[in-house]
Amino acid sequence: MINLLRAEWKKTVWNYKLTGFLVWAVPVGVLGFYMVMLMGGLFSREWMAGMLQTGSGIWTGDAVGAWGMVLAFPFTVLSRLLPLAFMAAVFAGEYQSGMWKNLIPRNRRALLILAKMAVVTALIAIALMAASALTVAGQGAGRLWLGWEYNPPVSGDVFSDFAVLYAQTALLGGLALTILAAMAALAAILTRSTLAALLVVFGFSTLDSLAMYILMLLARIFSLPEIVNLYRYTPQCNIDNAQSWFRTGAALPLPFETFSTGPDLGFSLAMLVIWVAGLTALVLAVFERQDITA
Amino acid sequence: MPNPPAICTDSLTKTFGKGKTSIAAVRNLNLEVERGQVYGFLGPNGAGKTTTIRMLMDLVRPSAGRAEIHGRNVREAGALARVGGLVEGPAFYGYLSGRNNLEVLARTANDYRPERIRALLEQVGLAARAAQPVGAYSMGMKQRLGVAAALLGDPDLVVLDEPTNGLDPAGIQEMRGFIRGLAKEQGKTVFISSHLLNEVEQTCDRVAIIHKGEMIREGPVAGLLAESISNLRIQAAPLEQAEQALRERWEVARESVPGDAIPWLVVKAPPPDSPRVVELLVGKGVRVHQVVIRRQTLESYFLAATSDLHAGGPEAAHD
Ligand SMILES: Nc1ncnc2c1ncn2[C@@H]1O[C@H](COP(=O)(O)OP(=O)(O)OP(=O)(O)O)[C@@H](O)[C@H]1O
Ligand SMILES: [Mg+2]
Repeated sequence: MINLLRAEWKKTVWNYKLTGFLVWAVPVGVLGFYMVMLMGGLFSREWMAGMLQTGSGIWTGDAVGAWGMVLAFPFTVLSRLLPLAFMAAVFAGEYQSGMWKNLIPRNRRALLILAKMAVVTALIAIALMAASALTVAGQGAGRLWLGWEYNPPVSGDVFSDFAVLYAQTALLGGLALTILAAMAALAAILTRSTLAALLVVFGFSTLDSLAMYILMLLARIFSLPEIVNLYRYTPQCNIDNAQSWFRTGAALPLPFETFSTGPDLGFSLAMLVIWVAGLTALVLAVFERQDITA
Repeated sequence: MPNPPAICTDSLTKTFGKGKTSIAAVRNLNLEVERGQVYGFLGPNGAGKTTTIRMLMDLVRPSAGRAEIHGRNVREAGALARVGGLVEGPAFYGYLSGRNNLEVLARTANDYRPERIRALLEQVGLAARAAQPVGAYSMGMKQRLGVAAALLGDPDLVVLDEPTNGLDPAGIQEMRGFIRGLAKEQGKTVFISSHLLNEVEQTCDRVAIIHKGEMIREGPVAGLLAESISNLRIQAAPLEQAEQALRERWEVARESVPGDAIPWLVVKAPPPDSPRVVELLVGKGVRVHQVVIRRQTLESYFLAATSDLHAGGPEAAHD
C-alpha cells in the first residue's frame, strides 16, 4: 500500500502544470499577497494597513481561515471549483493518458482508486495548511512592522484551544474534500474526459452548495413546505452546521419555519461520513465494472 | 492441475453495445497456450485481437465464457501477478521521464527494484534517454519502453499486442530477436498479436488466426502457414512443355505480366516443394529462368479461409 501511495503521489505531484495552477496556486497566492503587502509597506503604511485588514484580526482566526476555501459558504460556491478542477483532471487524466490499461493489471482496481482519492485529498489539505501558516506569518510580519497587536497572546490554554479548533476544522475540511474527491472520481469514470468531468462535477457541487435555495424554491412551487427538511441530508447543511457547533457550541440557525436550527453535531458528522462512504462505494462499484477500452 | 497452461480461454465472448448496433468483437474463443511457447495471435484489423488481450488482462469483462491464466480466472485478485502486458500501443505519462514512468508502474505493483529498471532500460536500448520526459520520445522509443514496462515484474507470461508497431526495419528485427530470447533464454511464455504473416512466421511456434472475432485456424506455424498461403511463380522455356510437366502434380495457371517477354506459370505449391518443382522441370529438359515464391497477402488468405468456412470445406474451422 505504501508503494502504491508513493506511486500516486509521485505522478500527481510531478504533474507540475496541474498542481501548480490548481493546488500550489493557493499557498503561493497567499505568499504573493503578503510579499506585495510588505513591499508596499516601504512606501505607504496606510496601504499596508488596508491589506492587513483582510485578515480576521486574530491569529487563530487567520490560521483556520484558509480552510474557508472548502468550508465557508457562500464563498465555496466558487472557491471549491479549484480543488474540484484539480481532482477531476487527475481522475480523468488516467483515461486521457490511456494509463489505466497499464495500472489495472498491476493492482486491485479498488486500491488504485482509493489511493488516488487519498493523494488528491492530502495534496489539497497540505496546500491549505501551508496557506494557513503563510497567512499567520504574513499577518504577523505586517502587524509587527506597524506595531499592532496580534491576539490572542499565546499561552498554553489558548494554544490547546486553538489546536482543537484547527483539528476540528481540518477534520471537517478533510471530509468535505473527500466528498469532492469521490464526486470528481465518479464524474471522471462516467465521462472519461477531463472537460466533461469538470462540467458534471461543477454541476453536482453547485447543486449541493445552493441546495437550501433550490429546496426553498421547490417548496414554493409545489406548496409543500416540508420539502426544505430534506436540507438536513445535504453535505452543505452538515458542513455548515458542524462548523457552527465547533465555533460557537450551537447548531446552525436556518431560515425555515419547520426547521429553524441545524441538527445535532453527531447527526451532522454521521451524515458526512455516510456521504463519504456512499459516494466511495458508488465509485468503487462503477469502476470495478467498467470496461477499459482505450 | 499440477501445471496448467499459461493461457486457457473457454468460449470467451465479448459483445460491445446492445441491440441493433452491437458488435460481436470476440465469439466463443477457445485458446490454449502451453508454457514456454511463443504463440502468435494473427488477424486483420478489427479481428478482435486487442479485445481478446484486454479480456486476458482483466481490462474488459467478457460477455460470456472465461479466461484463465496459469490456471486462475483472470478476474480473481492476484491472478495477473506473473503477467506483463503491452496492450494496443504504449501509453505513458508524458511529463515523467522513462525511468520515472517505470518506477511509478513498479510501485503500483508493489514491486519496486531500481536495479531491475536500470537493467531493463539497458536491454531495450533506452538507457541513454531514460532521464528524458516520455513526451519527447519517438513512437519507437515509446514502444520499447512499453516492452520494458511489460517485463517489469519479471513475468512468466508476456502478452504483447502488435509490439513491432512503429518500429523501423532494424528495430523490428531487433524486437523479434528479443521476443524469441524471452522464450528461449528466459523460459517465458510469449503471446503476441500481429496482423503481419511474416512476423508471426519468424517469431512464433504456434499460431491462432482469428477473423471477425472467430478462430479460423490454429496449429504449429510451420504447418499452418506453409499449407495454403503461397504459390510458386516460374518463368521457363519451352513454356508448353513446362506447363504439361507441372500439371501432372500441381495446379498450374498462366499469367502474362505486361513488359515480361515470357508469361509466368503460377503453380499452387507450398515453398518446401520448390526444389522438387525445379528438379522435375530440369529432368524434362526445360530451362528454368526464374522461380519466385509469392505470398498471398493476409487479406486474400483470409478471404480464402473464410470462404472455406462458409462453404463448409474439409479444412474449415479447426474444431
Ligand atoms: N469500446 C468499443 N466499443 C465498441 N466496439 C468496439 C470497442 N472496442 C473494439 N470494438 C470493436 O471490436 C472489434 C474488434 O476490435 P479490436 O480492437 O479487438 O481489433 P484488433 O484485432 O485489435 O484490430 P487492429 O489490428 O486494428 O488493432 C472491432 O470491430 C471494433 O470496432
Ligand atoms: Mg488491436
